[in-house]
Amino acid sequence: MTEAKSQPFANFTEVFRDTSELSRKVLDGAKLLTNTRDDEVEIATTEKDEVWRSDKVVLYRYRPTAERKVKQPLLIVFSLVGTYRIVDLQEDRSLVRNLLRSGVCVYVIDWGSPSRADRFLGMHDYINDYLADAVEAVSRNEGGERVNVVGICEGGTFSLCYAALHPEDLQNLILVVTPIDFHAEDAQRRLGHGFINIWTRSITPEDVDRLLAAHGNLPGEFMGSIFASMTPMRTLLKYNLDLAEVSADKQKLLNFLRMEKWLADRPHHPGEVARQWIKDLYQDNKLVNGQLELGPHRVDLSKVSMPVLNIFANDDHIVPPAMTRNVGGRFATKDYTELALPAGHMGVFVSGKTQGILGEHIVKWLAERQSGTKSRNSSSARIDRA
Amino acid sequence: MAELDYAKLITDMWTKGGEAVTAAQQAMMKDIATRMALPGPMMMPWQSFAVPDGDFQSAAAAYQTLMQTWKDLPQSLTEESGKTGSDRITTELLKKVFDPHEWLNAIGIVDQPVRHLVEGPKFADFGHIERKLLALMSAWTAARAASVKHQTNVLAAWTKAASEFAGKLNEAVTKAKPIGSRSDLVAMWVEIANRHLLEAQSTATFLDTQRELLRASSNLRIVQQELADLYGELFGFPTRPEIDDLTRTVSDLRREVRALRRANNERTTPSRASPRPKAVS
Repeated sequence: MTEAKSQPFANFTEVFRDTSELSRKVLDGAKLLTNTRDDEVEIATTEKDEVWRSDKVVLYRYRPTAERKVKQPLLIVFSLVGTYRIVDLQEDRSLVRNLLRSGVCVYVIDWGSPSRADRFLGMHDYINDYLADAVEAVSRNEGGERVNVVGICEGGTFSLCYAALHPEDLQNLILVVTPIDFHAEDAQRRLGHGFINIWTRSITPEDVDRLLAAHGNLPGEFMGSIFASMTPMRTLLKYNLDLAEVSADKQKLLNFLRMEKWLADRPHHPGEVARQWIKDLYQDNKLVNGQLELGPHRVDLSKVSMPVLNIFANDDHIVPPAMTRNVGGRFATKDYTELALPAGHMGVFVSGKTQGILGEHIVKWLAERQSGTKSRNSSSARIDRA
Repeated sequence: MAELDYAKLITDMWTKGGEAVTAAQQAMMKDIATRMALPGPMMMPWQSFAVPDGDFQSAAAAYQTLMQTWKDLPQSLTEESGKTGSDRITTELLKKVFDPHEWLNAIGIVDQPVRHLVEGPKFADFGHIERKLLALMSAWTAARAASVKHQTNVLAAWTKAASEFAGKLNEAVTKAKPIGSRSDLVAMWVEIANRHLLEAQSTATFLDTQRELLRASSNLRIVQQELADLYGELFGFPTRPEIDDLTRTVSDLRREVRALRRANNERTTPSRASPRPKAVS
């Protein structure tokens, strides 16, 4: 038997060198971590001012950094599952800064940190009260302008419901990684993609009720563990191998820590919202079936009459593209555009590959509709940046 | 896992609390039994911690004499009345009428609930708490069992992954296909393990045990709350249902305030040229 056949590695010297290098990185990283100050891992640092608040919900207006080029203000509506800070994670990974630089007036809703005291807030409260009042406040603050809304993930679903219930309030609607058809993931089964769909249908409505009776809200840690289980090895290696790999480079280490900071800040999902989100949407798919009720109103997607830009991520394992694509036919508007980006669910906002693309496309799309290049009767289009 | 750790901590806390209560009760009962077994007249409750004060001891002795006199009174009356042909029913009636303990019991009709409220649990309640503790232990055991069952599924996926990984390593040796570096080795393990774990997650068996774990952990949490609420009621802490009731009220009131504020805004300062349309339903 030759030496090559007696051991699994091509070159053990190389393996030892490699391992030594990793050890050195860990030691260097430990020194860097020790010297890292709290202010260096600050996130969401773009300057902004509070313009309105109701209960725990706050509306901010970012301070402009360039001459205004888009007439209507733009309101970012994030999910309740995480915080809006991901859209302004750090200076060089910030949708907010990209939009501001392009002359867009940007507002954002901060849903706050719901506690057990908020367990009885439902989707009706968030969409027909808080979101409606925030849109009203933006419009009022901008001299009565109609508002462009960018809805992200669950915030996109909320925005879509709002657009169907109050179509006259919005100038344009932009959806980003937004679940719409909650049973459509079967059309594209990739390993590990769409696990939330499978999981939520593996439990009964009574299980959801018991879970919420036990905790009041859907605990943030619980949703965090569901997300972590969707990328099991990534989760296991994150704080050892991944951290060791980035720890020698201060910039990479800071990027890593800022992302961790955002991930750790996972609010609880208010009980009644969670109940409707899981039962009515994930289990019963009521939005596309025209059966979703918010308070006294039924959401009818055929009332969505404003132009819609629907942006999704090709590698999104949380909201697989099938859940959001090909929904233009359900809307009244003929001006429906899809944009595919080469990223994962949150990578759309923080990945180096998509930095700039997202903001650039949003601004271009808005500018076309402002100048009249595209009318409300334009036909559907699909742009693939993958 | 964090949820389970949390659940375990809570369970441990309640278990230790339960043990402490039981131990205290055992000590108390043992003490009572010891006193009852002592020869001579049963000691009055205060005698166990009374200071050796002459006046106090005299007063106590006088009280005992008084009580005994009252107790003996019906007997004396009966003996006397027996000479005039009184019956047993009358004797018992007189005994009750003159027995100071009966007076205390009669007063107790009013003050017993009051004493119950301030003194806390009585024997019947202890049984109730014990039942709750048993339910908690049962729920905790069920959660641990569900966890072990679910972890067994995860472990099966790991075993498959490890088996495939070992096969690849073996192949690297036997077929002279050496692995390039540590990074390649780690990448190979990550790919294999990730694939097996994700495949396992979509299986009916995995989803079944995960659902059972969710049910068991929800149930454990609810049973914990029920026990906590029982103590809350006994000792005057707000219970979960009471807090939820308040929370619901506050949520409803806030909803009304938002609606009123909105109506007021629309009436005083319309934001757009056209009035805001009502929701399309």
